[in-house]
Amino acid sequence: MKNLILLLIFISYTTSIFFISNWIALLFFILINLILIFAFELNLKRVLINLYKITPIIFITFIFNILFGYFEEAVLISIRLYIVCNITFIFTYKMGTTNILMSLENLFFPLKIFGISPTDLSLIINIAITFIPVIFRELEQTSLALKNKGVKPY
Amino acid sequence: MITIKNLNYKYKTGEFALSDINLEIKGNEFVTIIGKNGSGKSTFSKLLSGLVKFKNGEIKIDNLDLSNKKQELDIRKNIAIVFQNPENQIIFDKVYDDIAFGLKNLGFSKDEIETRIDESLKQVNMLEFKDSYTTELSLGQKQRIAIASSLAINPKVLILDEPTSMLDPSSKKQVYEILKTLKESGITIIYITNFIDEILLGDRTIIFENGKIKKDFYKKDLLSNLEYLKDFDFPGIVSLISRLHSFGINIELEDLSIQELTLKLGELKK
Repeated sequence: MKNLILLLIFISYTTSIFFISNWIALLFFILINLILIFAFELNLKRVLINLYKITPIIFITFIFNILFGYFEEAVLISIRLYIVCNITFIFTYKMGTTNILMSLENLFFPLKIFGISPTDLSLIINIAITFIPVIFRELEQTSLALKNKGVKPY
Repeated sequence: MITIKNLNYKYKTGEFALSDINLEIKGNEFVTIIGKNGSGKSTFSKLLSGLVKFKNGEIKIDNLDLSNKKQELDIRKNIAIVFQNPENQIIFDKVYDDIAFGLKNLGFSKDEIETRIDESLKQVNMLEFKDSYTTELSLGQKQRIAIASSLAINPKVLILDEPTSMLDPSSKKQVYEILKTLKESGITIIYITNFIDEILLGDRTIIFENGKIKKDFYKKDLLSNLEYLKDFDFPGIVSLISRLHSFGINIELEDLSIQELTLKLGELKK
């Protein structure tokens, strides 16, 4: 139950960020993230690496917003994305995949009315998450094997 | 001749994978590299094959400088690597196409490709599978095809990164037989392994520990270096030969089976 509440808080938190256009309110969200990082004693280097990895995607979003909208809007959406990615990292790091999946199973409970098994759904997500690192490992091996076979660039 | 000087390599996390590696490997040498998981041996194989670039240190294979991007094509023509899982190395559904792919990429002529495919398949005793579908092959046969793909480019250096770890005992034996033949052909072989008994295949053994070279010795000195290998599950036959040595019975350390050892002991008794 505790995990389900945490998950609901997390969903509300991340959703609400996208409805806020006030700079001071956004700063408040950043402050909450920082407090959580220090409260949970997260490795700051890992947090920064995580933000660095997501930067290219945010940068593309930033460019698209500049091209089709206003500069201020582009900055705003970039900051929002950084906050969301950061809080997701904190949440997944602290809660763990198993707890998240158990909470999701509870969250999907109403779907039983439509004949959809929440356990099956949770299991599908679990399998998908488990295979992410496997796919990356296989991808690395295959790309090395291709390079070994002289595939460009050489 | 392979020369490695002050080679250092860090993972993306900043952790040292290899530190201060200095090594010289003569041409035609068969070197086995052993170490526990995470000791840096696989990273070393990727650096040595030129597949992963490094910033600190130097690796030279004859006149080839592995850090020089301009020499990439020459590097690929001279160094080949065989990985642990053959499934990742076979790209095409036909054996012929798969071996030809690498050769085409490296710019060999059509006639030369034909000759090299036949020769490499002969070396691994798989010539009759030339037109077979790779999906129909066993894991051991696939690994032999992966070795043939590497041999087809006629490399100066062949690196094998735990090539038998996924194979059954009979497939393992077939790979060992291929290696014994290759050893005689004069190619430099770097064999990375987790299995202690496989160090008997080579002429020289290098033990990796925490990204560093713990010990480097020749096969003839194996018995006097057993203490460095105590962390591994040592094969009974070597321990037995070591005990026999302590009793003054000198049997040369080779890749012996129990039956061969029994015969040798029988001969000594006579």
